[in-house]
Amino acid sequence: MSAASGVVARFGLAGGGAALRVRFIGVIVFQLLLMAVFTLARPRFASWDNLQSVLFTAAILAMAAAGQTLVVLTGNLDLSVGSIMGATAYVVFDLTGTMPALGPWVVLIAVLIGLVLGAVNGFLVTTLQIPSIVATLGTLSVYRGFVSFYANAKEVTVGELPPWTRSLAAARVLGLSSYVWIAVVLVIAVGVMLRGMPWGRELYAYGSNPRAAYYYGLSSTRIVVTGYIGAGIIAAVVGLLLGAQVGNINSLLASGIEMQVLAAVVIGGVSIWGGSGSVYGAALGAVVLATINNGLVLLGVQEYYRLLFQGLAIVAAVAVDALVQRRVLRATRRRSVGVAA
Amino acid sequence: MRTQRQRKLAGVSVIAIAGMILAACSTTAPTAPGDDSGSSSSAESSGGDSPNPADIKIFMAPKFTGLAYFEVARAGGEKAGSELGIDFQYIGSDKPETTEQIATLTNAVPQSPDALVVSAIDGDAVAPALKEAMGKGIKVVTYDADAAADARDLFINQLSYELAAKTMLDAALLNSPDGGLVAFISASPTAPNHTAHVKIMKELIDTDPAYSSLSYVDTVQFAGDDATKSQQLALDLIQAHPDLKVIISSSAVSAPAAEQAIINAGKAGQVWATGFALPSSVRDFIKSGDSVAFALWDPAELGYVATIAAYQLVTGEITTDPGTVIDAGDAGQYTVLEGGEVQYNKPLMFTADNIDDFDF
Repeated sequence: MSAASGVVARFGLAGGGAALRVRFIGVIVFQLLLMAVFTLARPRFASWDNLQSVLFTAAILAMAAAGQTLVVLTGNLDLSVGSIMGATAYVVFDLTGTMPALGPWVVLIAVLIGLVLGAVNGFLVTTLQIPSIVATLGTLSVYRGFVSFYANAKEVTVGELPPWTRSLAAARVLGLSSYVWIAVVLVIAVGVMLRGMPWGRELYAYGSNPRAAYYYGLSSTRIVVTGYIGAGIIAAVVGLLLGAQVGNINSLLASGIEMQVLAAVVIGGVSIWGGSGSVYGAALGAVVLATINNGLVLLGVQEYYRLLFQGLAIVAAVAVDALVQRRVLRATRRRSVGVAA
Repeated sequence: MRTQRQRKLAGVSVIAIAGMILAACSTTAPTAPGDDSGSSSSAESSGGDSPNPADIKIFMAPKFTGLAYFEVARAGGEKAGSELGIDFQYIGSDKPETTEQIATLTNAVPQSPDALVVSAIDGDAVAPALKEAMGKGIKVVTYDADAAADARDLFINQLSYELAAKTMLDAALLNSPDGGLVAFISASPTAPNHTAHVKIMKELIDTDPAYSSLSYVDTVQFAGDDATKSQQLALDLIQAHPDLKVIISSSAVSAPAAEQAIINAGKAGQVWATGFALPSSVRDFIKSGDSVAFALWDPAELGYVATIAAYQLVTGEITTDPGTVIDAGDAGQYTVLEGGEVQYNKPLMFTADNIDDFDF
């Protein structure tokens, strides 16, 4: 604990804390700006009915982005997130179709699947030292291949889903979809764990400077693997929620969603170089994406422009990150020079 | 039994390939066709003088292999295959991507099938691969989604574009008898059938008195046969157009997903999604009363007719000349039209009255 916070204090957050805060505020400003523009163009955008719909479409993405953050903080990527979501949704709902007695225990099965798939990712990246982008590109394919094989081109149809999962997907609490509340709880829980638990501090410490973390006696393998396991478990549970939301589940569920998830994480200010950013930022990034999607449909804009717009937002976010990182580095360097003198 | 083993082999090879290359490449090549003679009935050889049916090899290549709709069509193709006693194989990638389909088709050519039965993701993009196959004497029959007209011999069209458009608008009116505003979700701008359906639906709403109670949102949204994307678009469309009544999609993924999104949003009974969907994926909606009607055709019979047509092209029983009649036995007789198009044209409308009659 103390070792970890020591590393953070010396090499990470403290030095460029201001710059990082600015980065987070930047996302909020960007979101407000988007909302202002869309409201001016289509006053309907600001209606409660529309805003709650935007939050609902953001919920799944926000949760998946929270999971991805655990990996990105260590300076790695998890491209297999969509495949983990799809595999879990298909397998679990296929099981409940044949064994309705499972009830809510299905969540436990999902957690188990996520744990195993996440651990495999972690193993490839740490023990086998495969660069994470390649390792998880591989598991993206392998996990998806597994579902295709398992599903055998069949669908789990909406009538086979346990009624309680469908009710959950359609439930509303205080005017918002239950998924929005689940996302809020999950994101805050992950946020609290990251800030308050030694494990969370270690993720930051390792990500901001793996070498320093090593000299402080932190096990890089343990940190990275637990990051992947956390991400895997969250992806699996989110997959379950997505399955219940979609209804008819085929082997392609959530394929390609990794790009959206990474976009949310990056736009939300989690540095792809690791070590900085917050899960709240990532969730906010998901809201930004959902806002862009919604606003452009409201404006009657074609799909191509949506992709263009989203791409620009990502590039802008990474460019700002690069700037912030340089700032942080300079601040840190100045301080170490000060210490030496 | 035999197909089960083949499938298993194919599945294992997917995983093996993916694992080895550690890349996004999982094209399922058909397993080596050396070990045949598995199926028992050596079939009645109808055309005694023409080549031995057992020597005829037909590959069916759907848009991609993960979709239940294509699996039903495959069953029809396999039925034709076993009746004819030919070597019928199902090939394809499990990703709905044009590049993957091009790879599948390109890899199929060296195995010298006698015919390819193809549903094209992108009609123009797969054309060069199909032309190469035709250049090697391979007959090409498209079903479900056509390729460029000069890159195939015949196109077995499930429903003429006009009939498809009318069927979907009829389904829309069954859901919302008073008509109202309609929005469209297509798979992609390069899916020729989806694009044609939407174009004709717009024309019909503009001109046909039967559909004058309908109006439409001009911008078409694209969901790429992805359920999540379809749901997000459905919700955003409902928000964009508060008076929206019906969302129509030619995609058997998008239509049911959009309906589920409507139900989740608590808007069932105010907005409806309809279009083409497998009865199994909409049975629940129709039984619960949240939806009144979805449409389709019998994909199994479509796959059957396409495979029969491919076989008869190979044996020379038929040509692609307009007026040629394809005799598909119990599945009916079909005449080749101008441009090599054959219209299957048997729409099915699923409602509470008949939804239990369908087992696919």
